Amino acid sequence: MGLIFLFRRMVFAQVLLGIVAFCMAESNPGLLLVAGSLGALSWYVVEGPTGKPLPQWMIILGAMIAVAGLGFELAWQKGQVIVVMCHFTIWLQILLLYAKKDNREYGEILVLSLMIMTGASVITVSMVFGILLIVYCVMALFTLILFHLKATSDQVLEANQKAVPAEVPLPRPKAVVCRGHRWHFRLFALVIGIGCAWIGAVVFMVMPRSGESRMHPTLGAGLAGSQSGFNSKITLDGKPINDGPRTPVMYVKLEENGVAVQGSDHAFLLRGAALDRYSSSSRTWTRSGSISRGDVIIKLPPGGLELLAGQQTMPVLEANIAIRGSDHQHLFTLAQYPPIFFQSDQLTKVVFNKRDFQIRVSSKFYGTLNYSLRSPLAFPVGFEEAYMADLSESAYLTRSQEQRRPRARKMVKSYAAGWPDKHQRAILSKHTRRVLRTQGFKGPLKDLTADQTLEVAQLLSKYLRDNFRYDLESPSNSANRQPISKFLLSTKSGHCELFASGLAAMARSIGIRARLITGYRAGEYNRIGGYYVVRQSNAHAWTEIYCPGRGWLPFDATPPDAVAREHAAPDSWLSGMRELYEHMEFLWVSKVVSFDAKKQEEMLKETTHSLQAATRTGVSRIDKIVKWLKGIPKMLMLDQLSYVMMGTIGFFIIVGLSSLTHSLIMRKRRLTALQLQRLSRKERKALAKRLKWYLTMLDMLERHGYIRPLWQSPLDFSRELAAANPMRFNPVVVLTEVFYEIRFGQRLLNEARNTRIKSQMQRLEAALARK
Amino acid sequence: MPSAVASNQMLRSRTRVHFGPGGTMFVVVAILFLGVAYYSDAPLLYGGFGLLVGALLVSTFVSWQTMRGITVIRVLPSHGVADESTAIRYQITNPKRWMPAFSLVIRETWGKGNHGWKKTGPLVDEPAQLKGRPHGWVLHLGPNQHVQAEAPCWPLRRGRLHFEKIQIYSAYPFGVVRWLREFEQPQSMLIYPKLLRINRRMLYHLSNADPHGRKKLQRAGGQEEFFGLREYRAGDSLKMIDWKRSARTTKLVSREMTQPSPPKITLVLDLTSFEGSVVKRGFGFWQSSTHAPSPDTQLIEQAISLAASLVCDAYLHGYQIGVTVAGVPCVPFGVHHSLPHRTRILEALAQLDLSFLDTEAVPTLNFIPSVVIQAGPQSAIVSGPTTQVLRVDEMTQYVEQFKEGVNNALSRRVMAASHREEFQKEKV
Repeated sequence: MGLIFLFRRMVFAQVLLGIVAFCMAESNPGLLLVAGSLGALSWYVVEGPTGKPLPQWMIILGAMIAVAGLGFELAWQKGQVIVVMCHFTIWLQILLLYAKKDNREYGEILVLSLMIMTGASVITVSMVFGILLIVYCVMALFTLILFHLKATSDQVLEANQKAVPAEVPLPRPKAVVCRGHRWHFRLFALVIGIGCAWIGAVVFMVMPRSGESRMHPTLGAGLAGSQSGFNSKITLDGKPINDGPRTPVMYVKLEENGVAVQGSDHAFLLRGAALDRYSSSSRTWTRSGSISRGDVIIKLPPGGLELLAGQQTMPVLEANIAIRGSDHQHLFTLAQYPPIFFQSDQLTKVVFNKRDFQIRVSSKFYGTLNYSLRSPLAFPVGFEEAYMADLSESAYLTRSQEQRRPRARKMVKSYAAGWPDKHQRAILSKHTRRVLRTQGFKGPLKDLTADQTLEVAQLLSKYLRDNFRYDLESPSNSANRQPISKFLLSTKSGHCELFASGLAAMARSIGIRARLITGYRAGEYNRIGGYYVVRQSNAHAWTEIYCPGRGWLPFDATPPDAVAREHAAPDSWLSGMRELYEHMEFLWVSKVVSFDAKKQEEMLKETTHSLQAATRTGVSRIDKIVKWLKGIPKMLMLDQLSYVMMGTIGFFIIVGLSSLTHSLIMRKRRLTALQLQRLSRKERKALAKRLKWYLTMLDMLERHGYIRPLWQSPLDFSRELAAANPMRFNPVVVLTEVFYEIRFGQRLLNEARNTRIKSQMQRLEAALARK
Repeated sequence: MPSAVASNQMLRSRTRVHFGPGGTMFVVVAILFLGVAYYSDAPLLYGGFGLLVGALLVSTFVSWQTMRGITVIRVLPSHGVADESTAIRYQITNPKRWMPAFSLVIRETWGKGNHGWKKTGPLVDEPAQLKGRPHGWVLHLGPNQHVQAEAPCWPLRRGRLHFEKIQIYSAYPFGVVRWLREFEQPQSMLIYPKLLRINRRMLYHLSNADPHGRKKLQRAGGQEEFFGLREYRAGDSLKMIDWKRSARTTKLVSREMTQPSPPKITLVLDLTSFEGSVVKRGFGFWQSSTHAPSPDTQLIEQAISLAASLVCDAYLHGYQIGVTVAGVPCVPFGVHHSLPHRTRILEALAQLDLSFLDTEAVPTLNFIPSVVIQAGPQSAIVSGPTTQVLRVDEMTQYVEQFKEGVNNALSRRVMAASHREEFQKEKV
C-alpha cells in the first residue's frame, strides 16, 4: 500500500511540476493560477479522505470543453500552435487527475506531462526552466521506477486472480524484501540516475544536429511574444520602448585587438532597425517599402562573411553576441563601429541591406543565436563606397543589382529626407535655424559640407541634451499637434524616441538626411562572466545623420546621464548574487541551450586532441621509463654475477610476494568457509585449529564437484546434499552437526568427537569413491 | 515432507530477452522525441532524447545484471486440496556479491518438448487442473542473500499436478527490457479430492447406525467402569484384585474395567452404480494433469469428494473409519483411526484412476457397511438395514453451504485477509 500511495503522490507532484514549468516557460501567471489550483484541488477531491473520482460523463464533458477551447484559441485568438496544444494537453491532464485511474490512465498522465515539458523546452531558454527540467527528470526517474513496481505488482495480482475463482478476491501480493532494501533502492536509483544522465549527456553532445529549425512560423509564431522592448517601428503616442522588464535579451563580449573590454564605464549602442519614414497621421516611424525591397539574401560562407576585404590588418573591435529568441528577426551590430566581418555557425544565410546596414535572419529563430562581428576601430576614407564592393553578384539570390540600379538612384535622392507635413517642416526649419544661431553656427545652411553637417548635427544634439529633460512619462496625446512639435516647441521633455525623433526632424527640416535607429544601449557589465548584459529595459532609440563622404553617423541626443541612470542596475547587496545568477543563466544559454553543430564539432575536436595528447604523453613517459631502466646497469656498473644475483633475489621476492598473496587469499577463504570472520583474532585461531577437519571435508566434496556457495549455510548445504542422495551424503549431515557443536556450541574437540569425525570422514570418502 | 530439488547443479536454465509492449512504447516515445528535436533543433530536446536513450541502455544493463546468476528452486507442499488455495514456495538465491535484484516475478510455465525443454519430444501443455499460472513476486533480493516467495495455486480437481519449468524475470527499473530465465524443474504434487463441509448431524446419524453398538464400545482392559471379574494373572495390578471375592473363592480374582471404543464407520464408495460412460484412454490417463474430466464423470468426482470429506470429518471427530472402493482398483482400508491412516485413504482417493472403472465388478463384502456412497441411482452392494446410503445427486442434504460456490476453510482465510485489508484501507 505504501508503494502505491507513494507512486500516486509522485505522479501528482510530477504533473504539478510540469504545469508550473510550462507556465513559467510561457510566462503565463494566469494559467499557472488556474491550472495549478485545479490540479492541486484534484488531490483533495480524488485522493482525500472522503475523495472519489468524478463520474465518467463529467470527464467527457470536460474533454469536450477542452477541445472547444483548443479550437477557440487556434481560430479566434490566433494562438501559437505549440502553446495552444500544450494548453490543451494541460487541461486533458487535469481531467485525468480527476478521473478514476488505472495503470493505463497513469501512463497517459505521464506521457501528457512529458509532452508539456517537450513543448516548454521548445519555447524557452530560461535557466529557471532548465532547473525545473532537471528536477522533473529526477522525479520522473523515481516515478517511473515506482510505476514499474506498481505495474508488476498489479500484473502478478491479476495473473493470480485469474487462477482462482472469481468470487475469491485475492489480496495484493506481499512485497518480499531482504535486509537493506531501502538503502539498496536509494543507492541504485542514484546509480541509475547517474547512468542515464551520463549517457544522456554523451548523446546530447555527439548527436548530429540538423543545423536550423524547421518549425513553420505559424507553429511557434510569437513564442517569445513581445519579450523584447526593442521594436522595428516606433509609435510616438505609445509607451517608451525601454519601459520593459529587466529580462536579459543579449550577452555581448567585446575584445579590442584581443583585449577584453570590461567595466560598466563603457556604454555602447547596439544597432537594430533603421527607420526612415515618418507618418504624421499615425505618428509612427517605419522602414520604407522601397528600402525593404533592397534586402538581399546572402549565403554565409563556412568561414564567415567578409563584408569589407583588405581591412583585416587594421585594429579591430570584435563582438561576440548571444541573442535569445524573440519575435523579431533583427541582428544587432555595434552602432559606432559598422561590421566588416560577420560569422555565425547557426546560420546559413542572412538578409542584408546595404542602404540601412540592417542585418536580419531569414526566418525566426528559437532558443539562442550566437554570432560574432568584427569592426574596424578607424574607418578609411570612402568606407561607404567600399563597404559592399566585395559582395559578389553571385551571392545575390534575388534579382540582380544591375536591374535595380536606375530605380535605386531615384530612390536614394528621397531617402531619409524631407518631412511629411510641409507646415510643420516650415515651423521646424525656422526653429532649427534659430537654435543653430543661438548655438553659434554661423555658416549657411545650404549645400553643407561634411564637416559642416557634422558640426550642425553635433550642435543640435548638444542643444537637445542640454535644454531638454529626459522623462519616461508618455506625452499626452493631442489630435491637432504632432508629438515631435510638441516635444521640441513646448514640453521639452520626453523619452529617447522623442529625443531621437526631434533630432531627426530638426536635421531633416534644414535638408540634412536623418533616420531613426532602434536597438539597445548596453552598459551593464557582469564581472563574473566578463560580458555585457543587455536587457529588455535597455531598449533605446537614437538618430543617424548622413555626412557626405563619411556615411551615416550615429548621434544620441538623449541626455546620457539620465539614460545611464535609467539603465543602471540597482546597486544593492544582492547585486553580486544577481550577477552570479545571470552568469549561470548565460552559461546555461551559451553552453547548453545553444549547443549547436559548430560547438559540437569543436568539442569533439578538443576531445580527440586531448586523447591524442594524452596518448602521446603516455607513450613518451613509457619511453622515458624504458630508457631509465636500460640505463640502470650503466648507473650501477654491475657485472654478470651481480645480474644473476639480482635476478635470483628478484625471483625470490616475486615468489615470496605471490605466496604471501596466495596465503592471504586462502586464509580469507578458509575463514569464510568456517564462518569465523567476525570473531576476535584469538577466538578465530583457536576455532580454526579445531575445525580444520571441516575444510578437509569441503575439499573432499569439492573434488567430486559438490561446491558450497558462499551464500549458503553449512546446514543448508548438508541438507541439500542429503535430500539428493541420503545414503551417500548422510556423513556430511553428521559432520555438519559436529561442526555446529564446535563452532557455535562452544564444544571442544574431544576424543569421542575426534573418533566420530574420523569414522564419518572415512564413510564419506568411501561413499564418494563409489559411483 | 516438502519435496525440493536438492542442488542447483540439477537445474538447467536458459536466458531470454523480451522487448514487451512497455519497451515498444518507450522506443516510440524516444523516436517521437528525436523527431521533435530534429524538427525544432531545440538542444534541450536532444538532451531529453539522450536521457531516453540512457534510460533504455541502463534499463537493459540493470535487468541483465539483476538476472545474472539468479537461481530459483520450487518448494512444493506435500499435497494440495482441490478447489482450495495451496501456496507454492520458491527459494530464490542471488549469489552476486554487490548487485541486488529488484522486482523479480516468478511464474510456473509449461511448454512443448521433452518436459517442455527440447524442441522435440512429447507434448506437455498447461495442466487443466489449474485455471492459470501461479505467479510470485519478490520486491528486493539483496546480494548474497536468498529469500522465499509464495505463489497461490488453486487446483481445480484431484490427481497429480505436474510442474515443469519456473520462469523468473525482471524488467527493473523502467519495464522496458524484460530479462527472463527459465529453470527446468519437473516436479509433481498430489491434489486431494475436494473437501466438503459435511453436515454435523449426518456424522451423528452415521455413528448411531453403527451395527456394533452405540457411540462407545465397552471393552475390557481400560480404566473406566466395572466390566467383570477374572482369575488373577501375573502382572495384574494389586489395586485391581477383588479381595472379597478372592477370599470367598480362595483364588485371586481380578476386576476388569471397561475401555472406551470410538464408533466405527465402514464406508463403501460404490462407483459401480455409475450409469454414465468414461472414455478410457489407457493407463495413467486419469493421473495425467493435462486432461480435464468429462462432464459424465462429475458425479464420480463428487462421490469421491464426499467420501474424502467423510474420512476427514471422521478423523477430526475421533471416529474409526474404513474405506472400500467398488468399481475401480483400490486397496481396501480397514477400520482404524490415525493421521497416517487418514492420509493414506486421501492419497488413494486422490489417485483413483477412472480409466479402470468397471461397473460390473461388484465386490463381495464380508461386512455390512455402515455407509455406502453411490455415484448413481442403483447400487449392487449388499447393505444391511442400518446401512446409510448417500446418493451424490442428493448431496446438498449432507453438505453445509458456507457460501455459494465457496466451500472450504482456506478460501475463508483468503476472504478474511481481503476483508482485513479493506478494513485497513477504510481506516487509512
